[in-house]
Amino acid sequence: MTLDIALTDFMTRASASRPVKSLLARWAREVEIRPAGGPPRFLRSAGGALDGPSRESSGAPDVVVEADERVLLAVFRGETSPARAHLDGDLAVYGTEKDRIVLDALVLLIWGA
Amino acid sequence: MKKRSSSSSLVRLSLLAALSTGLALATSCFPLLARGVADTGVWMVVAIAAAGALAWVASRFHAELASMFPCAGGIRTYVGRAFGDRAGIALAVAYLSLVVALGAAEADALASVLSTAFPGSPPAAWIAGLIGIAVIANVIGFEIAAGLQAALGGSLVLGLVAASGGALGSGNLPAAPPPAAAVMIAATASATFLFLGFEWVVSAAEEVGEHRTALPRAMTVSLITLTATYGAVAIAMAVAPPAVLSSSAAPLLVLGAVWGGRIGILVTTTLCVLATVTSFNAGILGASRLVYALARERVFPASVASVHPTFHTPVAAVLAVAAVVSGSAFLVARTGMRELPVVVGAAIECVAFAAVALAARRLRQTDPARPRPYRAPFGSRAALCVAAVFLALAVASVLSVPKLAAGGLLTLGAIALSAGALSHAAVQRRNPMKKHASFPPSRSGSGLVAARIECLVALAAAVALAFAHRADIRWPVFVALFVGIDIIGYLPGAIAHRRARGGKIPDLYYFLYNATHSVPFHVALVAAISLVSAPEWAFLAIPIHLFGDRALFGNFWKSRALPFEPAEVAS
Repeated sequence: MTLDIALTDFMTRASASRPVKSLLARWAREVEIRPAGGPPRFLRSAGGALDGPSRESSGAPDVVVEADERVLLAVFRGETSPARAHLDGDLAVYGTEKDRIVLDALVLLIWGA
Repeated sequence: MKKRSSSSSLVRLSLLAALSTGLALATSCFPLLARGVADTGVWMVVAIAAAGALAWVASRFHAELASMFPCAGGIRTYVGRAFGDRAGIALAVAYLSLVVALGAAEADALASVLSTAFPGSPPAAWIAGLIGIAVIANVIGFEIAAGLQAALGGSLVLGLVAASGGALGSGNLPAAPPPAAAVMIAATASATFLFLGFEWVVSAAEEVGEHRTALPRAMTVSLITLTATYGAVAIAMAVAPPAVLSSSAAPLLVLGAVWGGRIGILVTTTLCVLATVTSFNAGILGASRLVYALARERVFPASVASVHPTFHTPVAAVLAVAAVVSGSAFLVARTGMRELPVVVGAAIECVAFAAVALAARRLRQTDPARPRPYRAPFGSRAALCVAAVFLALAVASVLSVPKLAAGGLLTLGAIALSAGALSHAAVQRRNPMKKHASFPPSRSGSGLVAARIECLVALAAAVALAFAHRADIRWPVFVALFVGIDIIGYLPGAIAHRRARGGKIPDLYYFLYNATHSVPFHVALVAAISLVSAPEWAFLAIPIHLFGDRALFGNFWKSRALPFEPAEVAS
């Protein structure tokens, strides 16, 4: 599975989840997913919905998620907890503390891990 | 263009340095400074400089690891990558205790200051108010912007230096003979607490942007600033009578009264409030985020990882941290053991610095290819020396206040046991295929749980007895007995196991472990010693160790049929 497919699947699951929509209702951000050595992907959140992934940014991203593609795939497929990957030093998230928690909570709500 | 780039680098450096300085400057530092000045006079400046220099060396290793793992979980990540999850989680939990200790000390110290400045106001109300404000701010997600935090830190330094200058101008500096070496070592160990928190700039710096190269320089500037500021305050405090200074719960206000009377008191009270604002909220914020992350790692219950749907903050973690800090602060205020959290905090900080140095050394050996945008200018032997010095300072810190040595050791022991048990349980939960190598395979499930519960009751009884007789315990004997069991019985086998890379090791190591961890052996040993000399309360170290191993870690006896350490075994 490629990162694009994993992200698309992730977005589909997010769109179908009521708790995720509630969490995103007041969270308008652009997130850059930056796989090591690969092109970046961008996800956008506005009005409780997620949009993307796209290859082009609409401006300066608010949050940057950086890791090997293998780690990103595992996180967005629900195989690895982002909190665990972050604490293991395999996943770096540049952004405010609050944004990092929202991203982590999104994965928790979607995958329960 | 180049000029603009260099000026923006300077701004970033100043911002990070002020941020780091503000995080370390706290109201609870001043009673500690006052005690140091009362013990050593103006020589406290030397102790501060020594602690500052050691903190700088530790900061180099911290910066190296932060450059390798940017935006990661700090000490949890560094130690986990170097020595495995168990060590990383255990140290993270211990570090959490450090933040709780700091929070309790800070809440109590500021309450004392405000009660002194506004006579008649109850300290408990100030404590409740301070923690309440911090909880509300953290739950609704109000965060002081990095720029404002840095501005507050800078103002605080200037205010403290000015107040110290004023006090120094109002009196004569008495000559003091050099104190004994032991007193200076104890003062240096305690002074480590003064620098606690400067390293939090690693995570707080993310708002500032790219900081991998600026961080090491910013920490250097911060440590120099802190050393100079504390030095100035210590010299000014030496002007006041030592008895007045050490007996006051708000020594900075004594300083303020010396140079400015009522106005001086109000100015120094404002400085204390500022000091608490720059450190306390960051402490609660950082601790709640660490609790949240540890809950996500299944160290704490999953319910602690809940996020507020509107404010996007880890509300359960904030409330849990606030509850523990409140309980600790009220306990400190009620028992009057104000220095206990400071002593314990300084000891844990020393252990954390030692662990960071060792982690940097280990990762240079195991992961030499990983990019290091910053590399500490010290070799592996220096890292070992730094670790040894900080571990010695941790012991010196606990023993620096003799009346608190017993309480300090018990508190640290409880923290170590809790951290070990939590990390052990978390690793077991994470790796359900891991079989326990230290329990007979035929006994498991409910039988094991029942045996551990029985041992837990025995452990609780032994700890309660030790606490009740803490004044009668000869603590060096207690520590020697507690540690000796593992030095003789466990460490040789653990080293052999590691050298054999998990393969078969001689039976002698199993015999050593099982003998030194058996109750009948120790009953015989204690009986023999009691016949020669006399029974003493320090012997309680033995049941605490043995029942702690059994109850908290499930370590009963080691079967030769299994590896010496827990290992992957197909079910």
